[in-house]
Parts: sequence; structure tokens; C-alpha cells
Amino acid sequence: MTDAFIYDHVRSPRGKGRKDGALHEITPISLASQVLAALRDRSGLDTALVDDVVLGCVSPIGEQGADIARVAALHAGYDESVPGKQVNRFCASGLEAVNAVAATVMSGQSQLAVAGGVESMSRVPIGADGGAWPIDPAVAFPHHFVPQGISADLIATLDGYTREQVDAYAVESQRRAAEAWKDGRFARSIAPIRDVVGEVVLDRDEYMRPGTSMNDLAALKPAFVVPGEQGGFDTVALQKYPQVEAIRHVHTAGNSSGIVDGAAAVLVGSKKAGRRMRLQPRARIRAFASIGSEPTIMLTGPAAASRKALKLARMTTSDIDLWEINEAFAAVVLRYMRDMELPADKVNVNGGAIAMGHPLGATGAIVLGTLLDEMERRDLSTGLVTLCIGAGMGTATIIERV
Amino acid sequence: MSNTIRFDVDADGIATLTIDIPGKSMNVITPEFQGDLASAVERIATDAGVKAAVITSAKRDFMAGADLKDLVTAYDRGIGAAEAARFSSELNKLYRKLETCGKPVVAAMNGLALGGGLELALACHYRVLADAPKVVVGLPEVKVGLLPGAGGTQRLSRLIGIANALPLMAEGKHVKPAEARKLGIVDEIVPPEQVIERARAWLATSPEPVAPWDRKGFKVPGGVGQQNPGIAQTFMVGTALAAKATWRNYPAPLAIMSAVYEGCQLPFDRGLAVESKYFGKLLSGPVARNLMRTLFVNKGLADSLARRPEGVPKVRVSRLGILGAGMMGAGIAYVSAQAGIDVVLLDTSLEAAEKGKGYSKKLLAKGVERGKVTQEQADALLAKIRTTTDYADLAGCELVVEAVFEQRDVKAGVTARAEAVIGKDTVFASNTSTLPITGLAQASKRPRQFIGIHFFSPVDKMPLVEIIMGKKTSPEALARALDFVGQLRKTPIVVDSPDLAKSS
Repeated sequence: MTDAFIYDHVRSPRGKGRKDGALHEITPISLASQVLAALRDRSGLDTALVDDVVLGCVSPIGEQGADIARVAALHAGYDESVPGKQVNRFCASGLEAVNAVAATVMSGQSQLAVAGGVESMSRVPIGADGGAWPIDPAVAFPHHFVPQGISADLIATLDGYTREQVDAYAVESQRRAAEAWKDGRFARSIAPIRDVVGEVVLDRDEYMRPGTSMNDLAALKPAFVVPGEQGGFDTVALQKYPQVEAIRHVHTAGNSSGIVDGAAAVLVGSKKAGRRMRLQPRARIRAFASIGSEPTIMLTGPAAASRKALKLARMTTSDIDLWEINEAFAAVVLRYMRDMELPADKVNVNGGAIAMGHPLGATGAIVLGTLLDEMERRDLSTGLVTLCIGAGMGTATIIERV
Repeated sequence: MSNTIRFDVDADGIATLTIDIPGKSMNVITPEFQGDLASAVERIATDAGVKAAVITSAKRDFMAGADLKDLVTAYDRGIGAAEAARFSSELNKLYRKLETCGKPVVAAMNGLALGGGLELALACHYRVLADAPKVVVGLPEVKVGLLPGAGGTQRLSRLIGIANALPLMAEGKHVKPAEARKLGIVDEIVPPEQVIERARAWLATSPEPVAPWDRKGFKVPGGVGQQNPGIAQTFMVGTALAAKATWRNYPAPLAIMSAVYEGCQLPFDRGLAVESKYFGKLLSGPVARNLMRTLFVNKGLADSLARRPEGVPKVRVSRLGILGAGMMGAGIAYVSAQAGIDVVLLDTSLEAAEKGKGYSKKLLAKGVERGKVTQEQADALLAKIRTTTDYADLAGCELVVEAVFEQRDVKAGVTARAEAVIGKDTVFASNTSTLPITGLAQASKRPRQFIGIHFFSPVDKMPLVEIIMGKKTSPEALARALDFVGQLRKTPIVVDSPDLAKSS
């Protein structure tokens, strides 16, 4: 089997996913194209050598529809011989794209590919693509569909995480993210996003609230009380988890991932492709895995996905130096650390989506890049990145510096 | 052709179809009616002398739904879902033929229209509804575990939008004329005597005989399917609320949602077919059969006091003794006074007895406030409840109900004290929910007159009353208890000791 290596990665800064967000005027195709162009330009990439461009996108309709990957490659000025494919593994789409291209490299079916993702949540709102799972009564009913926030609150209820615990986690995420930015740890990966006249509209993560305190967070109302109590979803969750007496709603806008716009791209190739490009590989993709898990609690997949990837890599948790788990909700991270028995100082060391936001289709590629940059900065060898996923799934990838 | 519809054509070529199901006080859909309607529709469509039609009723009301008597047996006949679906699609096709007959048809709804009756009106091109106090329209099929299988899920959704139509069907709510007009279920509400006249007036405007959904470019108000965020939300939350409301035991609300969700994304006739299939799944299942059997067949039997022993003369309870003015005693006092019975409400202190009477005061004050009863009626009702601590006041009672603490010695004590004063024919009843009647009757000197009459809380809201026989309870006591429950217009179920069918 051929090894697949990461040669480079870039990402856009994350803009607030609202009408006053800096990236709101940037179309998703422009956002994706600018990131693809930045990856090409900084690597001096001959795009005619690229076998595929695979981008994750979770709401692939409207402006993000019609295979945004192929059109973004064309629009970025990639050679017309480069095909494109949009993939959707919900919140892990960006990482799934990397794993998918890595698999083709490993199997010898391609030499070089770009993987990443894009989501302009301010322009194509979450859920805009509908879907049988949440909406079709004949499907939602038997599968006990509940919105993710209810699932996160269910995890907190089952595990006994208090509001203080989840808020404390969020405060720490903000603190770490602010420190990382101050220290310039994201500088290398950021591709500033420009408007139609070429001016930079955003060059740093816009969503952060450095200095957020426990008091600030305590003032926020739980976000999922209304759908839980008035929308009936608490009961649906309890029908699946009869051992729970009532859902305790602890998640707020302050301890859940932020809604943002963003895009990311990762250059993956064989050793041979690297030599041809005269690029040094930065890390080897050792193993990856995706799994399905119970869909009502939905967000507990990362541990099983991580264990599966570790097994494939013939590794154990003690072999991993640094961890990234997407901060979809604070309870997801707390459950993961408890489940995997991880110390907090090895997990999400530069903050995460609670502080900086979660541009659905792009996040998997972003957190992979964040992990690699930090492994280099700390001169660590191995890292594992994982995300929880809608409908009960998990994806994980293990990388090793070379 | 049988005789369920009178077909008259006037000089202007306007046919009047007057529905009058023989031997019924309310028009219901019977096989004969379906046959007659098919002939009538055929004649409207093909007779050149008929230019338009008015559909109305000879009864006080317009029409109710299907005759449940025909549906309740389907499951036990071993009907399959596909066969049950054909039952619905036959009526669907007939109504559809009416709707597409090429001539304007107006429903002159002279009174209440429910279920298949409203569905018939929905298949007309225009609806005029009598605006009178007792008139309602609705699709209550869900209450018997079914769905509106004569086009209701498809027409109502397309007429008033999914968000408005779904709750009406999923909860089986009916609405009054003003609300029906506001929602757009009917086109006009008019005084009852003008219904026909207004229906004809609409025909005089030379209307196009085409349903909105058969016009080019028709869009369901408020949208359909996935791509409309509001509608997506309606289904998302609606499904969760159905799971909550039914605790996953009743399939009909979900089937209604699926029929609407899937059907409204289809061409109209395909939508009707999907509706029929979901109807077939429900009719062929046990839940609809059980609901129809319990709520109509068996409840009807129970309400008619089917278990009452023959040959026992009917006795009206005119004076009722109640021992214990706690929550249950207070509730029994209220419903009994409401039924015109003089109540003696006894407790250990006058204060406690008055507190029990206070329950009636509170309910009546609320009723006066809401305009449901007049102050005079409230006062008269309260005057029927006499509070006391004196057992001698029980004299003259045809029935005494004890609702004291659930403790054998306490119950035995009040039984003895009451029996010391009441007449030899007076029946003594225990409202116990936990203690076997035969055992309690051991404290009685006259166990033949001892019976259980078990109310549920809150008494004024719960329609069911258990009557529990002790080993020695006489047919006369049973008859008395049943007569009493009948007076209260509640539903008695007779249980043989020592079991209670249902414990509060």
C-alpha cells in the first residue's frame, strides 16, 4: 500500500454566519475558490497534476449545489482536467474528503488530490437542504429524530455534566483560542478572503469573544428548552432513553459551536507526487475510520470512530500525542475525554468551534490543519482528529509527522 | 337506486340533491348512499338538462362521516391493508368524479358536517355553511384511529394550507362556523334559513366548475414538502408532538402526517391514492378496531346500561348521601347536584363539609365568569348541596356513597353509622379504589345492598365510573347503581369483585 501524505493546508478565517458577518457578501463558490487558489499559489502547484478536488458541504443546495467542488476548481483557475466531487458526511465532511482522497492515493488510484470543504452558513442556512431524517414523518418517527442540541443535552443529562462544567469548558476554549491567535499559531494556515475589488474583508476568526467569563456565559438562556419542551423533542429522547427522568438543558449559544462561514483545503499526495512537486511531506495519514452510532443521542460517535482508527493503525491512546475533537457542544468533548481517558491539556489545545465557529462542511479539514500545525509547533509525532456527526456517526483520522 | 338522496331539478336546470338517510337522525355514509350518489353524479354529468347542482340535507344537520358499524368489523374479517385501501379509494373516486363532473356543485351545509360529510362538501366547488350555535365542521377520524379517507387529507391541506390543516386532522378538532370561514374551510357562513338561497346565488354567478387544485399553476398555500422551511418545521415538530401525545401507541396521527406530507407533493389524484393507502393501513390494524369498538360499540352499550338486571323497577335517585367531603366526595356532590339530585354532604366537621361544597362554588363561579351558567342557576345548584355532620340527615336517601379515608376500620365505622339511619331499601356504596368490596361488605348488616361505585378524579371531568359487585351484592343494588350513573350521564362499567378494572 502506498502512503498518503499531507503536503499543505490552508483555510479561510471564519466569519460570523450572520447578515453582519464579514464573509456574508462572499458567495460560497468564491469562498471555496479563494481557498483553492491560495493552496495552489503558496505551494506553486501545477494543477494539471491534481487528480481530484473533493470538498465537503453539508447543505449542498442553491449556491452550494450542483457539485460545488468541480465548479470551485474551475472558478479558481485549476486546469480543466481536474474533476471535482462534493461529499457529505455532515459535520465531518471536510475530514471525510481528506480520508477519501487519501484512500485513492493509498490504493494507487491517484497521486495527488485536494480535499477540503466549504460552508457559507450565512447564505445557505443549516437545514436548508431538508432531508427525510428530520422531516419525513414516516422516517423521523420510527428513528426518534431529535435536533442535535437535544442530543447534546441528553449526553449532559446522562453523564451528569452541570451547567457550570459545560460553561467552564467554553471559557477555556475561548481562552485557548485567544492565546493561539495572539501567539500567531494560526498565521500559517490562514488565507485572507477578499471582496470583488480585491480588498481583504477578513483575515482572522471573527466569531471569537476573548475574555469570556463564567458570569458572561451564566447569563445565557439554554437554547433547546423551547424545542425540547414545546416541540416535543425531550419526550422523543426520553422514549428512547427511559432511564432518564427529564432532559436537563445546559447548552447555550455560549457553550455550543458557533454558526460561521468558512472554507479549507488540504493537499494530499503520494511520496512520488511530492518529489515531482519538490514539496516536503508534513505528515503521513496513518489510518482513518468512520462509524455509525445510536442516532438519537447522535453525538457519541467519536470515541468508537477513534478506537476503530487506532486499531487500524495498531496504536493505543497512549501512542497519540495530541488530540482534536470538534467542539460541536461542550458535552460532546467532555464525554469524549471521559470515554477515552484523555487529559484536558492534550485536547483542543488551541481552542475550537465553541470559540471560533463550525463551518459545517469545512470544519473537518480545518481541525486537521490545526492539529498538524500544533504538532509541528510542539514537535510532537502523532495526532488524532475526530468529529461527532449528525444521525449518529463519527469520523476519525490519525496523522504522524515525517 | 335506493332512497337516500332526493334528486329534484328546477326550471333553471339546477339540481338539488337532498340527502336523507332513512331511519337515521343523522346522515351517515352507507353503501346505499354511495350507490345513490354515484347515480346522481352520473346524472349531473350527463343530463344536458342539469346545469348545476346544490347538495344539502333533509335532516337538521348536513352529514356526519362513515357508519362506523361497517368499519369496526373490518379487522376481524381479516381485511388486508390493500383491500382496506380500496374501501377508501372507492369513495375517493366517487367524490373526485363529483368534483370533475364539469358542472358547478355547491354544498349547502344546513348544519354540522363531520368526517365524510365535510369531505363531501370539500369535493364541491363552493361551500355555504349555516351559522348557528351548535354547528361545527371537522375531520375527527383520528379519534377512532382512522384518517379522513375520502380526500380530506388532500383537499383540506390544499385548501387552507398544511400548517392549518394538520392540527385539525391530527387532533380531530372541529371548528365553529366563524372559525371555518376564517380558515377558508367554507366560503360563506349565513343564517341557516339562507343556506340554499346563498348556494343558488353563487351558482347564478356562472362559476367555473373547477377545484383550485385542478387549475393550472395551483400552489398549496404556505407551500409543501422539504424546501419550504416553515412546512419542514411543521412536519419536524408535528412528528415529535405526535410521538409525545400518543406515546407511540396510536398510529393515526402519524399516518395523517404522512398522507399530507407525501400526498401534497404529488399530482392530486396520486395524492388521493396515497391517502387511501395510509387509510388502508389504519383500517386493517387492530388499534382502529379497538378504538371504534370501545368508544362507539361498547361505550354505547354501557351508556344504555346494558348490564342492568332485567325486571328491577327503575328508581331515580332524588336524594344522595355522601360520606366524606374530601376531593372525591366534593366532586361527586358537584356532578350529582348538576344532575338535579339533592345532596347531603356529610363530614366529621361542618367546616370540612363546607370545604367540600366549596369545590362546587369554585367551579360554578368559573362557569358564571365564562358565561356558561347564570348566577341564578349556580345558586340553585349550590342550594341542592346540604352540608352536615349529622347522620340523621341521611334519612330519605335512595343511595349513600362513602368516600372516606381508604382504611377498613374508618369505612366500617361510617357504614355502621349510616346503616343505623337509612331505609332498608337504601343502597350503600363505597367509592373505594383499592379495597375489595366483598371485604368491606362484611362491615355491613345488609351486604345485599352494599356495592362499589368508583369515580375517577377529577369527578367532573372523568366520564368513566366503575361499578364493583361484592359476592352478596343484589341485582337491585346493581340496578340502582347503574340508574344513578345513568342519571349523571357517565359511562358505567360493571366489574365483578374483587378486581378493580382501573385504579385511580
